[in-house]
Amino acid sequence: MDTFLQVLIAGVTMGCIYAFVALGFTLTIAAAGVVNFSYSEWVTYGGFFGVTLYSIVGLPLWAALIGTVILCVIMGYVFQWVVFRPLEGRHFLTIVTATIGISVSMGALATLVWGPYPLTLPTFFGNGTVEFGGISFFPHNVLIIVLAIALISVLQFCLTKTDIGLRLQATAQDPDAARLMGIPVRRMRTFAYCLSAGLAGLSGFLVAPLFVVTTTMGFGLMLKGLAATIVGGWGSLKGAVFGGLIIGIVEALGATYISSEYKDVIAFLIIIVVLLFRPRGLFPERIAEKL
Amino acid sequence: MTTQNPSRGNLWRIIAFVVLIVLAIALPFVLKSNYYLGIAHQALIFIILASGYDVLLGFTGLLSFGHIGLFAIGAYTSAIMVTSTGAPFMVGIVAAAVLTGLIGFLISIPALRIKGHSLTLLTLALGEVIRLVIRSMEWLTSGSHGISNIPRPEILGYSFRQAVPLYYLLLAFAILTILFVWRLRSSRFGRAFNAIRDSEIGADVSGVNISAMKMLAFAISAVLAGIAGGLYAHTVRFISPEFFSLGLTIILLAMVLIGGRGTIIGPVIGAALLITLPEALRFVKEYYLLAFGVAIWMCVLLLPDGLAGLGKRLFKRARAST
Repeated sequence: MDTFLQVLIAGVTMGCIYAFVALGFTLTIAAAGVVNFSYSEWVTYGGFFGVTLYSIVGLPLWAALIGTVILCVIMGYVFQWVVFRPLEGRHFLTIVTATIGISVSMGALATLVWGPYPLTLPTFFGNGTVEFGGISFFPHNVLIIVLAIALISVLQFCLTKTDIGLRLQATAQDPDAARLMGIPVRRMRTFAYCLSAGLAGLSGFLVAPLFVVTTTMGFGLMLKGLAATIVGGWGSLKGAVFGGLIIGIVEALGATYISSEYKDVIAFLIIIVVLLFRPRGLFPERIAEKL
Repeated sequence: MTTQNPSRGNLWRIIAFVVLIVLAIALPFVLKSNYYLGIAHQALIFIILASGYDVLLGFTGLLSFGHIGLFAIGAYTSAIMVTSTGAPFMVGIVAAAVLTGLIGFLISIPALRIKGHSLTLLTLALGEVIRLVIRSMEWLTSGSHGISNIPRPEILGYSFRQAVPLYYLLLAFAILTILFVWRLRSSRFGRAFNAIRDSEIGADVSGVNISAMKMLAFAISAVLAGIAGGLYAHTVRFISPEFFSLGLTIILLAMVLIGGRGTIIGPVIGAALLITLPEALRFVKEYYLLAFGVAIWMCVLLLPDGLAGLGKRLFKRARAST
C-alpha cells in the first residue's frame, strides 16, 4: 500500500508536468489552429533559462523561476511574428514540418550555447525526502502538484468566468464570427501564444530538478504531452489536463507493477488504443474539426 | 503538372534519367576511397527509402511518422535471418519486403478511419513502439547492443563484399525502384493516389476505391522501406535501435520535402543532398543542424514543391522567354 501511494504521488507529479505541456500545446491549437512541434524546444529552453539565471546570473531560485517564465513569454511573442503568423490557416502538413524545422534549429542552437553536457538545477527544498504517514516523498513533487492545482484552477476560472477568457474561447470556436463580434482575434492569439510559451517555461523549470537539463529534455516531454492531447481530445483544454494526469499515473503504475523496461512504450500504446477506439479522445471538443 | 506537349516532356525526362544513370555508373571511377563509396551506398539506400515514402506522402498525401519503424523492421528481419539461420542474402531481402509489406497493410487498416493529425500521431506512436520493442526484445535483436558483423550481400555465389560491386548492386536496386515508382505514378493507381491527395471526397464520388487505394499506398511504401532496410543492414553491417529514431524520420521527411514531394526526381535529389551534405560539413556539425532546420522551415514556406518544383519553374521560364 505504501509503495502504491508513493508511486501514485510520483505519477501525479509527472502527470501535472504532462498536463502543463499538453495545455501549452493545446492552447495554440485551440486559439489559432497551429500545431507547434517546436514546443519541445520551448520546454528545453525553459530548463536552460532556469539554469542560466540561477547558476550564471546568480538569482535566487524563485526569481529565476519568474525570470524563466518571462523570458519564455517574450520568446513566444517573438515566435508569433516570425514563425506562427505566416503559418496560420495553412495545411497541417505545412505547419508540422515548418515547426519541426524550427525545432531542429533551436536544438542545435541550444547545444551551441549551453554545450552538450547535462546541467542541473536544485529544488527549492534541497534533496531530502519528507516522511508523512509512512510514505516518503520529495517536497518538490508536492510543490509541482500544488502549483498545478492552483494554476489550472485560475486558468479554468479565467477562461470561463472572465471577459478575456470568453473572448479567447470565442476565438477558438470560430475566429471569423469572433472577429465580426468585435473581438480582437489577433490580440487573443498573441495572448494564447504567450501563455503557451509561459507554460513551457514553467514546465521546463519545474521538471529540471527531477531529471537533468539536456537538449533532448523537452522532446520526451512533448511526446507525453502529445499522448495527453490524444487521450483528452484534440484541442480540448480540459482534456489536456485530464489526459496528462492519466498518462502520468498509468505510466508510473505500469512501470512499477508491469515492467519498467517497457515504461516508455506505455504512453505510445495509450495513443494507439485511444485513437483506435475513441479517436476523438475521452473529453472531445463539441466543435467540428477546425484544421 | 504536365507540359503542353506530353510526349516532348517525357522525352526530356527520359534523356535526363539516362544522363543521371550514366553519371551514377561513372561515379566509382571518380570516388576512389572506400569512405566516399560508403557515403554513396547510404545515398542510394535512402533514395529507395525516400522514393517509397514519397508514394505515401507526395502521391497520396498521407503524413506518416512511423516509416522509419518499417525501415527498422526490414533491416532487422534480413539481418536476423542471415546471421542466425544462414539464409542467403536474397531470401533475407525478400523476407524483409514481405514482412514490412504485411505490416504496412495491417497499419493501413486502422489508418483508414482516421485522418490528418490523428493519422500522423498514430504512426508516430507505432514507429516508436516498434523501436522500443526492438530494443527490449534482447533474445532476438540483442537489444541496444545491436547486431554486428552482418555479412555483405552474396547472390548465387558472387560476393558483393568489395565497395565497388556493392555500389552497383545498390544502384541496380535504386534504378529499379525509381522505374517502378515512375511507372506507378502514370498508372491508374498513381492517378487514384493523386486524386485522394487533392480531394478525398472528390476522388470518392469519382469512383476511386479510397480504402483499397490507401491500403495499396501503405503497402507499396512499406515494401520499399523493407527492401531499403534489408540493404542497409547488409551494407553498413551493423544495426542498433538508436539509429532508427524519430530524428531519422525528420531527415526522411526533409529529404522528400526539400527534394520535392509528389515528383520522381525530388526524393532522389533530397536523399543524395541530405546524405552527402552532413558528411561534407561534418566539421561544423551544430551549425549544419542549425541551417538544416531553417532550410526545412524556409522550404516549406517558400518552395512548397521543393527543389524539383523550383527547377521546373526555372526551366519553364527559360523556355517561355526564348
